[in-house]
Amino acid sequence: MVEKNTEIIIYISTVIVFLMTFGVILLFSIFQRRKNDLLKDQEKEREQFEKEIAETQIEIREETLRNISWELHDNIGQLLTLAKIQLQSATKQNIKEVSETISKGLSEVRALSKLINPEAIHNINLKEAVQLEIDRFNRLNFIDSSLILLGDEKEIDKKHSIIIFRILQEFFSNTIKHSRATTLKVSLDYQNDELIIIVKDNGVGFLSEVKKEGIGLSNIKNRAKLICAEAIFSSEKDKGTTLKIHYKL
Amino acid sequence: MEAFQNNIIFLEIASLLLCLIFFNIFKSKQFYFFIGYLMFAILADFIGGIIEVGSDAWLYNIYTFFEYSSVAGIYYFLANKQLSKKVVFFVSILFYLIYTISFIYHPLQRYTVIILHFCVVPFLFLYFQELLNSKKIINYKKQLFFWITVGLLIYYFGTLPFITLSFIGELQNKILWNIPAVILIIMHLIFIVSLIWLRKIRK
Repeated sequence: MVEKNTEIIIYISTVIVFLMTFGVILLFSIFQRRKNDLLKDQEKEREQFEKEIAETQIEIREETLRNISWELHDNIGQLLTLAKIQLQSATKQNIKEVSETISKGLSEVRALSKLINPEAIHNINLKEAVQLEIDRFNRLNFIDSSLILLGDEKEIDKKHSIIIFRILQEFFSNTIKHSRATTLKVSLDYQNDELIIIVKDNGVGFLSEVKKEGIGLSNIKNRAKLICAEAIFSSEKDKGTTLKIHYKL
Repeated sequence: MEAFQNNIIFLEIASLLLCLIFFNIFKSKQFYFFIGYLMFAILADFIGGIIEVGSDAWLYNIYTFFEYSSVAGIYYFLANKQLSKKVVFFVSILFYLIYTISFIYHPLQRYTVIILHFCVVPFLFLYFQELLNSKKIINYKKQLFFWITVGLLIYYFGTLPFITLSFIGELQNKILWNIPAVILIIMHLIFIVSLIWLRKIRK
């Protein structure tokens, strides 16, 4: 009788364990498939991010080339033309003026060479890159601009820096082209776990949501999302536009 | 029924032959141990068939050592994480210790097979856990050792109740021995099918 009971126990427990084994294999298959799907999604997101970075780098390069072209033609070109005219009517008295014009031209060329450096686009230091832009605006009398640095500067992922810089570049471009602003203030506030960037102009601003989307602001917001940052616009008619970016360090 | 149990050796030979034929395709350290596992099983069953039933306990006791070592070898080399390797290493020390003591304290020999099953099953789960935690996209269905682990899991986990109760209770009913026999057949069929199927993919 004991033997019979043991046999029944063996049969039942074998069936149970056997079913459990299949359950384990089934569960494993389900989890493994989900994990693979998740990894594929992550891979796709990573590829998308890399693609976006590459596109952003191209955009920065194009913008830089546009700036260089402009500076060569309208700034350095003008200075050299001026120097040529001054030389044509050069006297001992005004030769110093010629020298000053050429020196100014040289310093413009030096400033320009910093922009052309391709390494700068790949290994952007956010603060330095923004400073270069600000200096350029001031040098060329585009707009009265300033950069304020708050807190201790912290290292930012190079790829994220590229995105942030491009966002700022787009904002600057909009300010100069459309806002008719006279001042542009940028602040980089390095807090413990966050970098808060505030860019403010005193231009005409805008009202409607439609216009917000129309001038590439949605593009800025989407770019910010890519690096898990938040871009907030605030604008009032004739009171300027402010962009606030919250980036987690 | 007896013939049914005795014919398992042919499936074991088929598994081994396929392993040797496709040796170059699946060549790896863990695969060597898998071949060893099949060879020891065939050898034990072959000698076991010659020796009179009832006086073959010593043979299966020796086989236990080689069976455990082969499986431990498979999962030691299959493991990518140091933790998994350490688990295999320390469980092996424990098993070999018990196994050695069983030669001094003979009644323990009755339990070495049960202990083997309990020692081996965690290795199989560790392998599954490693596959799940891997950050690579793994097509597990195309991994030979996934199927080998499935086969071994069905055998070692599926026969746990039978092995435990039969070795402790000394069952007389030989029909019950069909349980591990059926499970062994399933295991070898998984080996054979996966070897043939994955050979094309690996090529």
